[in-house]
Amino acid sequence: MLKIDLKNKISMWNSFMGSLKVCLDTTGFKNYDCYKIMGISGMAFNFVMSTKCDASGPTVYDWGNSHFYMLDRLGIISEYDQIYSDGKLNTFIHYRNNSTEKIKKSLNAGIPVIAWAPSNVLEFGVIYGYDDSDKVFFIQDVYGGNSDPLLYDNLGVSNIPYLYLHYIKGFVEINTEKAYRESLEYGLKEWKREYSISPYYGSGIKAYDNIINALSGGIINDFGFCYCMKVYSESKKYIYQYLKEISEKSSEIKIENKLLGNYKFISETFTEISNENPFTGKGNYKIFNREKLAKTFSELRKTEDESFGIIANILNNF
Amino acid sequence: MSNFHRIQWIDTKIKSKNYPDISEISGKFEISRRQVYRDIEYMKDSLGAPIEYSKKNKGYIYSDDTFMLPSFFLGKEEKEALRFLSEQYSKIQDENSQNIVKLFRRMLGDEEITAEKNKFPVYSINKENIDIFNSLSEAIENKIKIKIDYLNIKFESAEREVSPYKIFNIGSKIYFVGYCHLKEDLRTFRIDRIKNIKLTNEKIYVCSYYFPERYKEKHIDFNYKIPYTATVLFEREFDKKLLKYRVSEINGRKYKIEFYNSSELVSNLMSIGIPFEIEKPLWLKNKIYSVIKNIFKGFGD
Repeated sequence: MLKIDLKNKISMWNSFMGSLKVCLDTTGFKNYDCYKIMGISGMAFNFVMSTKCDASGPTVYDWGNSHFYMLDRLGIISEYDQIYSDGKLNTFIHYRNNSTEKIKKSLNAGIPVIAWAPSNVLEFGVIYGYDDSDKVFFIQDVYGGNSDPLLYDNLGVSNIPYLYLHYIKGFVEINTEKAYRESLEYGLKEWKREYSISPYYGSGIKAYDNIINALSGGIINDFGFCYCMKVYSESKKYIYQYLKEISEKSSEIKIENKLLGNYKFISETFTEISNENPFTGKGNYKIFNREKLAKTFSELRKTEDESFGIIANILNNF
Repeated sequence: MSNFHRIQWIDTKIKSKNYPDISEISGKFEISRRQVYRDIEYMKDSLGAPIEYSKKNKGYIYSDDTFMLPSFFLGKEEKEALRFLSEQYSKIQDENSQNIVKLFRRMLGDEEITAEKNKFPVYSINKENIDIFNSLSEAIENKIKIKIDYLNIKFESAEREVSPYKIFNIGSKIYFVGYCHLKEDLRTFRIDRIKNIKLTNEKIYVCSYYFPERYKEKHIDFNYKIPYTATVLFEREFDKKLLKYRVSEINGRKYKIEFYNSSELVSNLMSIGIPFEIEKPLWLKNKIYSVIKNIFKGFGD
């Protein structure tokens, strides 16, 4: 039996990046603050909302590929296994056995592994140990409690049946100026992107359009809206903190006060909306004052669009 | 446990590189070693399995990893289960599910499957639940009362006389609504808490304030997960119906219990009121130990 002593619990609403932070802190590869992980990786700029504001918005992207490049921007050497299997894949057992061995190898080297839904919670979590006699992995999910372990045979089995594992292999020092620039380029690309995966999911400015339409007489998923606000209020806060760091530390990128002011407003407004429409994980959800909210989002849309105009100008100077 | 299930189990174990051996298989199914050899021979000779004993791994392996078990002859029990599953998948209106329905029906020999009025929701199932579902459906269809041994939320067992009206599900739990003659009111019951069901000859009582639309199915989901297995030794014998899980007896006081959630298992074990010891798995033993330790911490030294 082997158990790695995790240094902390998953403390971010973005469960992939929250799990990554636990792994980084535990291995001591790099002590990144949450905002820096979200900023440099570019994850903070992911803003996706479906036309009905479903809870799936924040997780609708090509996990493996996106995470790989995000981790690369952070200087993290990584590999991933990603297989969708709803029980019909003939070769699934082969890949699962293969992943089981890879996880053990990583754990033997003292590195926890990021996994999709290692417990019943449909979020990313961390595998931090194993026991061959009981054939189980020890896991930590977003609730951070004393979760039941994961049977080797249940690896990759959940209501959203992805075998998804992300292995951290090492770390290289990065050029911070390059990291700042590339993360902003990624953010701008996300802002202008038409949609994520399918036209049902609008990205960036289109995400705002979806929210505004849903609030203005369209169909809205109240639960999903509250969940997304919780996730995105955190992302917007991290963008603000990240831009503040760039303004203080970068010798190449000049961040105007106007841009910082805009993101302070965006971050505070999102937090306010999330507090008024709290996501607690259970119970019934009902959004009130939809008309007022739609107006607020129109204003946020305008402000963030203006902000990306400023960012585009900054990047044009390179 | 039928031969079909044993062979499936052996096949899964070999494919998962768990290298089952004669002792493990005979222990798992409580059968003789001779019977295990017969199963292995059957797999080799009749099913064409490239099964070999690996000295290195001290267990059976397939020399050809691409081997797939062929279709089986289906016994009565398997046919019932397959027919049942076919009904459940037929409820899902997507192409894949309808293909599964066609496949199951082909495996059943193109037997005509009549649609039942009450359909069991898609759910991880066991034989007991199928039997209860079938009896319950029959009672609802014929409008007759039933008598059930039912475990309430505190896991206290009581016989209830019920006029059943409708089966429905919420999440992965399956319920039925009916008029409880003990409580003299409408009640919903969880099917997995019914330990025994008997059909009576009496017609149902029709409750004036029962509205079927209030008992709608909510969120059908799948559970492909394999349960944990615990070996639990009790201090003395007791009625195993008090355990709300799939249980197999190892001897008079020792049971193998399949479960999905350790907290639920522990509260069930505690509610029986008989001292017990968890022999396996170690993680469960440790977890309970740590919970108890924390409780005692609350009382100081």
